Amino acid sequence: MIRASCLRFLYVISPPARWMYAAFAASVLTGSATLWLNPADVDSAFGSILLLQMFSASSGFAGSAARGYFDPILAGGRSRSRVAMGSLVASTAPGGAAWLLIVLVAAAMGRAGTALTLHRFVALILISTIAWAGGLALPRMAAGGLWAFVLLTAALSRDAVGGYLAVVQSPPAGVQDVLASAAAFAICPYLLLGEFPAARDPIVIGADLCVALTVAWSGFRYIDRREYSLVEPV
Amino acid sequence: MKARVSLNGIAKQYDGKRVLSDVTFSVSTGEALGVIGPNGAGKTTLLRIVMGLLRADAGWVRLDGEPVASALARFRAAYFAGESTLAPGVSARTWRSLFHDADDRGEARPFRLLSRGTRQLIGLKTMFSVSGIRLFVLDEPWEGLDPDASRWLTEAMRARRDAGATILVSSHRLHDLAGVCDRYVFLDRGFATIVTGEDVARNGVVTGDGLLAAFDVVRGRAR
Repeated sequence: MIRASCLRFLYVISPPARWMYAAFAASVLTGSATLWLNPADVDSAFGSILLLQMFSASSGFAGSAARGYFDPILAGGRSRSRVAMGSLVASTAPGGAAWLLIVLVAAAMGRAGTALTLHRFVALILISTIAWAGGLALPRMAAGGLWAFVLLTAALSRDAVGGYLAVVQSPPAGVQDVLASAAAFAICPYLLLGEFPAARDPIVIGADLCVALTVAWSGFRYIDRREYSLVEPV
Repeated sequence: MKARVSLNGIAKQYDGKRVLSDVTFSVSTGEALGVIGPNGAGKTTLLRIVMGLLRADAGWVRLDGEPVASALARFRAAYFAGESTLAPGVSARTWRSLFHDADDRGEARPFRLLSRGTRQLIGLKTMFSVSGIRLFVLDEPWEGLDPDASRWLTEAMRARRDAGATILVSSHRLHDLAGVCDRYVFLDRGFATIVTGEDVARNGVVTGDGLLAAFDVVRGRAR
């Protein structure tokens, strides 16, 4: 019955907050200014976008669905996989667009090689998929908030930071090192923004891509198998 | 007539509490079935099971003889669970544009700035403005509507039913249901009883009072 695509429907019904757009715009502007002043500093421009993406991708799908906002597409003959894909894209598109703008600015500054490295892109994919899937059953932005709290707590512990850095500062020597590096990057994708030796290892990056795909798949499965009861409005 | 909606042995419980038990009935093409029951009787649960939004613990639902998911992918069905399911930040105009290509008619203010009755009417009118719908599933559609809007809805439902659409509608407004429905399903303590217009009134003229009396008989509360 709905003529609009799942992506458009979800984007219209549950768009990111307006202040989030403003924050992404500010992040792109400050990132561009940083790159203009110091073209080598691509990662600080990407870092602020990743931070915003943690919150933006955490869309709170289940809360909106429980209020019945998504009934027309969930009961409209669309496959749940398409609904899940629409939710993932609608939640992560603003951050993806901001990222792309920074890549273009970096390319204009002659830093395309740095901005387009695979490990930096994997950082965006990890943040987007984990925050999206983790946020499906939580209130909007809650997954981003929880994740940020965990990272902040870890950052305040010297041992934890030292442990993470020790893992990623040398190329992985065996399976255990690969797993440890991949886990460190999955927990803290910001580490992929540096030029750590482990971040340039294709096996580690492949493992993190598998993590992202698995997490996204679990999100698809959650949307597919979930029961959509209606919660009485307050 | 061909059964458009068939339910067989539907059971559902939440947290160990039985909501529906062995609910079995079918609704034909061009027929309107009213779902009646007290609050918490499982009306909304039943309608959401029909639309594939909830899974039954036991039993099955078929639409045109097919499982719900594949049937809904094939033919147009409309489900409306009330104005509270309209996202408050979306305008009526934008809402309408999701159902119709290149249509910029309608109220530009967001739903949260409109009255409850206006939201309900916009939600229903959007649904009824889509052509070719073969199944309407409506949960408390008269709720919040003024007399004119109620009359419009009743007439719209009759027109769609007479054109061959199947209507499954729940409501506490028995006199409104009586004006549209051909048969009724009474839900009480999880069990369903099907009642026809002739069961309610020998002359076939069903009234709200007649429905209430019939429901009392079903519940063993006949006066």
